[in-house]
Amino acid sequence: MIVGEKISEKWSMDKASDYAIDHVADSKNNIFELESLSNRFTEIFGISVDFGISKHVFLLFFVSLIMVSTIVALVQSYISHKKNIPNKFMSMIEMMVVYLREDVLKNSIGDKEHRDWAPLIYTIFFFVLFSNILGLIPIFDLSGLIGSLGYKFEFFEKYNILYILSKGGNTVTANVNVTFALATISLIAFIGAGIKKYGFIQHWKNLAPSGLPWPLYFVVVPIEFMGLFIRPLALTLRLAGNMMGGHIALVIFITFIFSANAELGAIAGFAMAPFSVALALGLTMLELLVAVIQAYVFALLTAVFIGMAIHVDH
Amino acid sequence: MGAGLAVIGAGIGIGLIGYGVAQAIARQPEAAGEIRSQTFLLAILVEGAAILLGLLSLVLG
Repeated sequence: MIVGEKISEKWSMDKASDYAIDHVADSKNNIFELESLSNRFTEIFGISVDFGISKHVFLLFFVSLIMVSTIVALVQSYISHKKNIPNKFMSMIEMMVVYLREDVLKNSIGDKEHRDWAPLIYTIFFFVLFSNILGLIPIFDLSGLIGSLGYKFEFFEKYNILYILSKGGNTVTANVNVTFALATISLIAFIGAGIKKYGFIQHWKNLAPSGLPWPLYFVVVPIEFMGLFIRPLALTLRLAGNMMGGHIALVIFITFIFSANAELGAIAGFAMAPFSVALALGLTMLELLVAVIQAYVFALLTAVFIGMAIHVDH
Repeated sequence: MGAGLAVIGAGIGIGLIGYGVAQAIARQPEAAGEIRSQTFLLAILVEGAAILLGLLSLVLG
């Protein structure tokens, strides 16, 4: 069952989970190929590498484009006319930037070093924020909605990109691969921060506190080393799990209508609809909150880990 | 089942954090800002473990 296909008479409770998983999953094929082949792999030196532009990859580019154009346009227009009062969006961005600087960067990284790491933290924050919020806008669901009412759009099926995008609005940060890449960047950052401050060898020595009785090092060093790699793993799973969970719950709430319709009849379906939509609306509001909080959390934790690498002795 | 257990654990954890924060702010209202940012960090860590378990139960179940 794919979002956007006509909902058939054979709808049953079992299909709800397939429907939900399909909503959050990536597309299998390359969206720029008009025939839907499952061909995303390119041969390089005899190894097949996945270079295909799937739905999530496309949305990743889309998010980056929107983020860069919005932020750069706003900030440039603000900087170039210094006497102007900032407009609404500019003051919103300024508020976030100042809050992050005062509350996250200065507190966790430190007064001296926070300027070095500010661009990274801001980029992570705004990227996660934009992709979370863009995933909540159901703009790509529009043809799916119409399709589920029984109309088939030949226009969409002719142009495969639109057809695949129409199968569901998507959050790129719900994909574990995307968040793992982000977490890898922050792993490199907080190893790099320690190496920059203390030099390569001293940084790895800092992993374990000095002055312990020597047998304890056999316990402490492996634990600290494992902790180093568990941190980005936790970042990955937290963001992806939050986003994925929210979207699955949303779809499940909506499928209550179709389940009631299929199991108990059309009147039950109609009676279920207001409750379902009200629940989904409330959950969407919650997701809006979660989208901002998770972006903040990702930036905060990256800053805290960088700070831990820089200030070892406390 | 696994998701339910994870939620119970996280609920207790975040509840305890909230209890501590409410008491701390009541005793020292002037330190509310610092306490709040510490709270965020702790709540995030508790929630992270819960989400990990929830995902595991989703994948294995």
